[in-house]
Amino acid sequence: MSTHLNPEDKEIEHLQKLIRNTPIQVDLMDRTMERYSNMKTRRYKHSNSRSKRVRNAFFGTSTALVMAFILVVSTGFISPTMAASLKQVPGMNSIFQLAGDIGLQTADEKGLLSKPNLSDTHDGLTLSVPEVMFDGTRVSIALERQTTDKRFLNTELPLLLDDLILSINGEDIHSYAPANTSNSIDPYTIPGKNSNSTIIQFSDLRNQGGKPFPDKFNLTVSMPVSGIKQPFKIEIPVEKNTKNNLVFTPSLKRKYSNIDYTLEKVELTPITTSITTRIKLPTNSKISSLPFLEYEIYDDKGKQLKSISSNGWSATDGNVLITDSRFEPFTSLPKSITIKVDKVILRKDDKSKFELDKDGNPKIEYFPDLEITYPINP
Amino acid sequence: MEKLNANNQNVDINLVIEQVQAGDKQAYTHIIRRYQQQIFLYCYYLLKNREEAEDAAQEIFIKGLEHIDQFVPAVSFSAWLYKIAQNHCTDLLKRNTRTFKSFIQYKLNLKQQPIHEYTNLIHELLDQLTLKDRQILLLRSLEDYNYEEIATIMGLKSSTIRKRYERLRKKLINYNEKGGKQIEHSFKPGR
Repeated sequence: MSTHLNPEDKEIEHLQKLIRNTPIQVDLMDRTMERYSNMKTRRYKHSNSRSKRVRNAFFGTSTALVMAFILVVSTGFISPTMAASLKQVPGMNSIFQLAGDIGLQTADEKGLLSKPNLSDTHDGLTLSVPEVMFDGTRVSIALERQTTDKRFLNTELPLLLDDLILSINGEDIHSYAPANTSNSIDPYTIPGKNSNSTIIQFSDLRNQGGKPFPDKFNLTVSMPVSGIKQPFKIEIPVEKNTKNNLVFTPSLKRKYSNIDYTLEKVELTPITTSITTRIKLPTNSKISSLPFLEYEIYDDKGKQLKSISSNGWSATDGNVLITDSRFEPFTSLPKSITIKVDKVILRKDDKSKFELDKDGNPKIEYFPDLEITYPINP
Repeated sequence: MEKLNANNQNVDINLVIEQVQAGDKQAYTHIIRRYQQQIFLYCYYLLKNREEAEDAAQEIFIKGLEHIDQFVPAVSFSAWLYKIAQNHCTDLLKRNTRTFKSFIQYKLNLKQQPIHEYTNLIHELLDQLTLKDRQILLLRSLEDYNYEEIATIMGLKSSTIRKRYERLRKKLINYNEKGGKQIEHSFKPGR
């Protein structure tokens, strides 16, 4: 590498120096060596029982499946609809069915997805896209690997990919992000049904000032893989799989202390429940002074939806934070929804750790003044 | 910094490695002492959490010790160690829940520990970069590696590293001028 530095590199050089001289000293010698010797002993003890444990778990699962099936058949409780759905045996191979949240499982069961069967192969490694879903709030792509080459099998699929570069109709996906900000559209992966599969997900930033994804577009996913010259490139036709999403713009406001809170948008699809919230502090206050806030959503019977992902953005030293939070879908349309705001509590003696409840989950504290109940009238 | 050209420190480390390979596991403490600070900082700036970084650094050294027989001096020992560190941290980061948790911890710790005043800026700048770019910048910062050495560690071509480095440099300078902060997290949905 040329050691020649441009004048503008002074900033980078300064940053590098800051990184190098970070004033945290660690002494890991004793702890590491102790852990190493403990681990060796434990590993030895465990090695004999492992295969047995795996076997038991396997039998446990199959017994449960067989019993459930027998129960259904023997009671004669098979309605025509059920018979039809049994015939389909949904998702025996579906990545969405086996690894996705309830929304993606629903997409598989109701056919609200496309199965494009696209792939690209280089040097004996094939990456394929068997399932794609777009419901207007998120794009989900199932990705699978097929290979016999050990070089490409020694790590989980997401780790094999050096990068995930997306473009829509030939245009860099970042052109859909809000202009002149550092807010960007970043895909992330969740574990698939096994180490050979994964689900890639991302959403547009339409609620944060970005361009909405079109209802129909060609998505190019480019994935460089170490040791392979050409990146894998798969062009996927994406079309919105849901119709008539319910979109509400409540603009309901609440106030607590110096926090002005607005529920800006609620979008219900058969696959996802999405809410957009805005936090505003007085002009001279900074969003970074707030603890990290989380949102929870409940139906009219108090049933909570599980969270899928969320992303928010505020300008440096800014006083406004807009967040999109996505949850699993409602199985039936609720009369109303309740959105609670909370923060996670840290331990008093060690602020780097969560305060845990008796079940080992992080304790949270709600802001009752920011709670909103919104009637759903489609 | 450890380079391929033999200097005293390098010779010492090579001797230590031979000792460990010959079965003297205790000699490995010299290797930990030599690299612990940099490996810890590498993990710290990737994982954004001191406790997790200390934990990860220990695990990296343990992996190094477990596989030291496979080390051949075709690459420098530090590069070999960073390769383990890279795989280990990437692995930790891809477990989404963990990222989410450390993110919360990082955010909430901001005000409570004085050290964060120092690292806050660094974290914020690194947040603008992709994981790969962050790794490149950290390897360059902590060890002053050249493109080729970084390429060896990351399993990429040195021309790719050069291009990425140029890009990340521009991105950081651009960010500094423009300003802005993004908050994002994701985690595995429950069934």
